[in-house]
Order: sequence, then C-alpha cells, then structure tokens
Amino acid sequence: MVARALSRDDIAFGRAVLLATDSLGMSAEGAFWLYDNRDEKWRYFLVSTLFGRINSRELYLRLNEALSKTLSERETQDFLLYIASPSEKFVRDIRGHIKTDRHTSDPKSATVKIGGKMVKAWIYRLATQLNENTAKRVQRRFRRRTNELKAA
Amino acid sequence: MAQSGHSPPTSADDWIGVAKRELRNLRGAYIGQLSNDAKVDHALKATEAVLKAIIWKQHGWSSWPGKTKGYKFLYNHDLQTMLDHCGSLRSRLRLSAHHWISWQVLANAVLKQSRYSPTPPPDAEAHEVAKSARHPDKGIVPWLLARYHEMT
Repeated sequence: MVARALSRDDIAFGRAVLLATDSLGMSAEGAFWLYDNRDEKWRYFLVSTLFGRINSRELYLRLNEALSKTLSERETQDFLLYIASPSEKFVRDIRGHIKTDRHTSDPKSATVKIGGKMVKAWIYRLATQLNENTAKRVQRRFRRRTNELKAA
Repeated sequence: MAQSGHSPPTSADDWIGVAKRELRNLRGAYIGQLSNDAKVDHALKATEAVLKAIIWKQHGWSSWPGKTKGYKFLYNHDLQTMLDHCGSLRSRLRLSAHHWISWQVLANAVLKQSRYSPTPPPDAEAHEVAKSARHPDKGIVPWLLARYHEMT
C-alpha cells in the first residue's frame, strides 16, 4: 500500500513542536512522524526520558499548558501528541536505522523496520538516551520552565 | 476474575453493558490483581465500547456495521477516528482539561500497545492508564458514559 504523503504544513508543524519542547528545556531525544498502514494516517511521536520519570498525566498537563502558549490554538486544536520513552522497543528499532545528534531538528524522510514491518517515517531527531545525571537536570529544568510559563 | 465470552452487542445499550463490564474488570487494577497488559486492555475495551455505543446511537443503525470500507476504524482500535465519528464530542472533550489529559494518556498507551510495543508498560504508566479510564471525576469512561446518557 502506498503511504499518503505527509503535508508540508505537518512537517513544519512537527518541527515547531520539537523546537517548542526544546525551549521548555525538555531535551527530547527524538521526534518523528510514523505512517500507520492499517489506519492510513500519520502520527507524531515525541521521545523523551521524562516519559517514565514524570507521570504521564503531569507530563501531558505541563505540555498542553506550555504548547497552548507557544503554538497557536488553531495549530494545536486537532493535534494529538504521542509520547514514548527512548528505551521502548519501537523507538530502539527506528534508532537502529537512523541516529542523529541531540540538537538537530531537520526533517528527513525514511523507511524503517518496526516489528518486521516496513514503515514510512519523517524523522527530526533520534539521539541516544540521556544519562541519569542529565535526565535529573532536564527534569528539574522542565518543571521550572513550565511553572514559569504558567505563571507568566 | 475478569469476565469475558459474552455474545456480540446487538444494540447501543449492549455496548454500554460491555463498557461497564470492562470498568468492573479494570477495578481489579486497584486491588492488585491485574497485570499491566490487562489494565491497558480493559481500559481500551471500556473506552472503545462506550465510543461504539455513542457512534451507534448517533447514526441510528439497525445493526452493527461489518468490516467493510468506511467502517474499518471500528475494528482497528483506532480511538481517535472513533472519537471523530462522535459528532462534536471531541470539541467538548478539549474544553475539559482533565478529561482531555485522560484521553491523551489512554490514547497514547493504547496506540503503542496495539501497534508497536510488545512489552507491557511499567507499573506507574499502567496505573495512570487505569486511572485515566475509570476515575469518577477525571476518567474518560465515566465522562463518555454521561455524554451517552445525555443523547436522546
């Protein structure tokens, strides 16, 4: 089956989301779109060590509040953000195909193998997992910056 | 003990029965009798069942559609598309911050479990998923059940 092309707007928006999380000090290890052949749709994933360190309700709450202030409401209205840990199997599978440094955000088209199936992807970043000390620092910084943004 | 093996629903109200049964099964999460996989699975089934009830009632179908083009989403555990077939429900959900977070947490876990992750989620994540599904004030299933009962 031929994957529906991801629009330029979506590609640009995915990068904007990643950069917005960078500005929150999140230091996400990865961000990418994956095409789901079964549902025939693209989904956006953010990969962060914070998923698993901060409970997922708090993480979504902080991200929702922050992204609603840094991105336009029109952009975020129909957007659903999926979050994964860098240690999850499908993330490791993709990283087996493409690895980037921790600061890049340039989108690259790729076909990756996940669980034995070939999947179309647009990848902005996919770096190795943060070490424990850095992860602790990132967690404190993310909480502090999202608190500041909320109070502003 | 989880209940299963019931006959397929023959009405919207039957799907509500399934949703309530799955909520009861999910209750085991709080007394430590469920595996993490099972918590996500019961949360998915409860949410999916109430969405199906709403879709059925909204469309006024005489029977449940088969797995034909246009209705595949009803068989793919694609919660997002199901929600999009529930009229204005998505907009209403977005207006309720805590329920929207519950939706995000649940959709995130369900998507990864059903598409990409062969390994069970960790305890903390499974607990968040169960809470996001069944919490009386913040849970997505009680909220959707209330919307169903509002429908004429």
